[in-house]
Amino acid sequence: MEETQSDSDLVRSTLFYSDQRLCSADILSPAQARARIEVAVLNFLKTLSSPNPAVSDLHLINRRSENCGLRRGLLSDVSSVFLSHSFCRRSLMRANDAKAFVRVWKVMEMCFMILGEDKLVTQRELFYRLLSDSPQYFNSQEQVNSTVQDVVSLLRCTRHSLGLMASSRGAIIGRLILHDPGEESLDCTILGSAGHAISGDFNLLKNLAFQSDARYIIVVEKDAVFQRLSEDRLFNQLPSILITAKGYPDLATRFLLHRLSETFPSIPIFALVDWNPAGLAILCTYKFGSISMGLESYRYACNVKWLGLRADDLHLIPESAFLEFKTRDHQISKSLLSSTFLPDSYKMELQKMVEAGRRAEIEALYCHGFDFLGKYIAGKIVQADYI
Amino acid sequence: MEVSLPRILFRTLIYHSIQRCRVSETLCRLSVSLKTFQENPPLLRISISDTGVGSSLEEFLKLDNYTSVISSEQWDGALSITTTGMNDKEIQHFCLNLNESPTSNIRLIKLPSTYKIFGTFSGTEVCFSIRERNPEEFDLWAVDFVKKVLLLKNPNIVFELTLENINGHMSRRDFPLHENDDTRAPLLLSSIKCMAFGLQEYSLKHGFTLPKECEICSSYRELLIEGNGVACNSERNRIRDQLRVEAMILVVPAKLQPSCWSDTNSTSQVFCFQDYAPSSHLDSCLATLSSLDWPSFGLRMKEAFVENEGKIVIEWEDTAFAFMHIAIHCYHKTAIPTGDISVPDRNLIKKAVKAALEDLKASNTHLFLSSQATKIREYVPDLSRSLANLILSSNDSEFKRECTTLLGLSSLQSNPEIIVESCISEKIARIIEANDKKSKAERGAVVPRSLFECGNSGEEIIDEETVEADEDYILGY
Repeated sequence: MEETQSDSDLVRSTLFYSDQRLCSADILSPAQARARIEVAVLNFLKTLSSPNPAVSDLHLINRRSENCGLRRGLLSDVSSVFLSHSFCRRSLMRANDAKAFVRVWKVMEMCFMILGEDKLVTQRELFYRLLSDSPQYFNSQEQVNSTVQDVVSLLRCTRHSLGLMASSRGAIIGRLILHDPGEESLDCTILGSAGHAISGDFNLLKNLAFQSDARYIIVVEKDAVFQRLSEDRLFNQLPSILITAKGYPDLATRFLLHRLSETFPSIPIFALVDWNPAGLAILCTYKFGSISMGLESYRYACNVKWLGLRADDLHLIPESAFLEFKTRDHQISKSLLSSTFLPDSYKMELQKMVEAGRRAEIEALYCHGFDFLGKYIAGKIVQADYI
Repeated sequence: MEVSLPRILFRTLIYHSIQRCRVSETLCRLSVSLKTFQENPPLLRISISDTGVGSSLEEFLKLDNYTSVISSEQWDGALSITTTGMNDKEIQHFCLNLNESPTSNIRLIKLPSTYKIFGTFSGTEVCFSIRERNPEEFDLWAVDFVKKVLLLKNPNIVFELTLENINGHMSRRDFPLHENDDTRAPLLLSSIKCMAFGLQEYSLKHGFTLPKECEICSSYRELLIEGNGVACNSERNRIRDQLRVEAMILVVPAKLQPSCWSDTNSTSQVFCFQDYAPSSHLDSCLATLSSLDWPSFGLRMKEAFVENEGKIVIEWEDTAFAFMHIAIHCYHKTAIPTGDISVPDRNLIKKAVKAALEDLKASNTHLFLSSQATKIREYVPDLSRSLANLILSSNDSEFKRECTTLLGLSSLQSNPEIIVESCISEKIARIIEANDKKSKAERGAVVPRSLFECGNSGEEIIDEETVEADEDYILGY
């Protein structure tokens, strides 16, 4: 029988097939991470002092869309993006690459020291340390972050294992009690509208215990909307937990969300994002993970459903609230449309967005009154109007 | 710039004189005499004589090939030629009027011959007179021209140059060449070695302006670096077409910096020769030199031009030397006295100079590292420092021991950071140099070694330049 395209797609997306191709970053203790760096140094010196001396190249797992695949869960409905065995090479022997090569070693050196002091340091602090130590090699936070990902790809261990954490931007509020062992419990219903700031320390997040009577988890793209909903105490009217990363989701926020979804598997997760390609990209990151951190990101994929804003809601938005697509919107939509993981229903929504060439923010709904948002959310949930 | 007629004439006559000496295959003398008569305008009488083989006059009859204007207010087109062959019984005298048409019977006038009474000898003398407003300028140029010939140190030709200034009854003589037995190259030295000898002497005598070698410069003689290269087209069937190009490069490393050479910093002088005479095709040579891949030897040309029709000057972006002189000699294996001065073979010149550069690089790689390798080398100290810190900050003594053993260090007692760092730095620098010496093909054939041998043969490895991934901000967190 001839295999059809959909048959082979099915095969390729099964857990067993993709797990062979999946590259993962290990979660290591500080001692283990230091040992791995020591192995790297020894290998380098061995090649340097061998009868045919050479400077070893660094093979880093390719963090580009050509090297990613979609992994569908067999027993759960969670799909995640993963990176496979395509490598890119950093070599000292190529003049345009040599600086990037040295950057990787500089970051490894710094992480080795951080781990030795048993510390956990934010990427921002790392940037300033590197800037004062080797200013000619590091000139921006993005460059430091990218080099950190190079080290993650090289050593195949998580960023957290290297003693680094991203400063978390996330906040959480709602019908949830957080138990931090050794600390007092925190009732998230009695917090101010800014909510509880999510820690960037994975060890801490790992050990949190939860108690909740929420029926829904709502992931909110923007802080302003999060605060509006918190002030209105939406989570009391609609028993829920509200969580935000204030923009692109950081790993700590995703980790917490993932832990919640595992602790309370029956609670559905809904996303409230702007009607624009960036909003959809944010939703996809929560849902599938990211490519640039593909080695560890896949662990924290969650089954997030798209509540709003969607094409059917556009009649609620006044004409004047719509804005023209910018270049960035076109770039993001192009990339999303050509990706392997975007489900068809999302693709259709995105295509409507692109055809109209217009975008709108959630706040546009305030034209119907400041309490409209809560009603809108409740209404959509009750009508099961989500994809 | 239009080259003046007298200069073209002088150059061409000397060229043919040298060829006649080459053909004779014996020790010859070539004498040049410049007599200035202070008249209005001054008259300059030039005589070029050699003891080479006798001339058939063919080369003189073809002189109008070299210049479109055969006579001008400077020269009346007349040459007085005296020549005799080894076996001739007579010495023949001619007067050649090049401004007469080739069919005219007064173009070449045969004058009464002289009988040879004593001895067997051969030779040719040609004289002509020109009116020069500025005879000193011509004298200077002519002296410079003849001195350049000395650079080749042809052991078979002895050069003499006399300048005479006659004003009424007063006359003054100068002998600008300081040639003596000490300055001559040993007889059996190959032509390329003679050229090396000549180039060295040119440098140590400050362009042959000093009668003896400069003392300061001579003290650095041992530190001069030489590279040579040869290219031939011996597959040509006709012997008269077989060419050989020899290139010699003389370098003084910058760290010496004696004061004599400080004003020639970052420039090179290039001398081009053809069949043992200074070349008249400097523009062609310049174009060839400009097309060479200098960056692969760590050199970047800023500007290059022909100076005073005599030599090529190249200005470099910063270099590692005080100066670098280049001599290029293109010659027919067999001398042809009546042959035309042909345009030099550009491919052969390119091959020879490239071979000379490769010769230099092979023995002094660190001075001639390609621009790429020099750029990479800048990062080596920082990389070595990181690795040294990684090793020394570990609290695993087994790991430290293994590292120091691999580096070939017995113990780290005093200043371990400096010792480890410089050891690693040196090893990496040597690898960079060795890699740079390889040709592109050889480098491509080497399988790169990775830090972690993954052992998975199904891996795909992509060489990517560091691109700040723009498209990856999708799901780019």
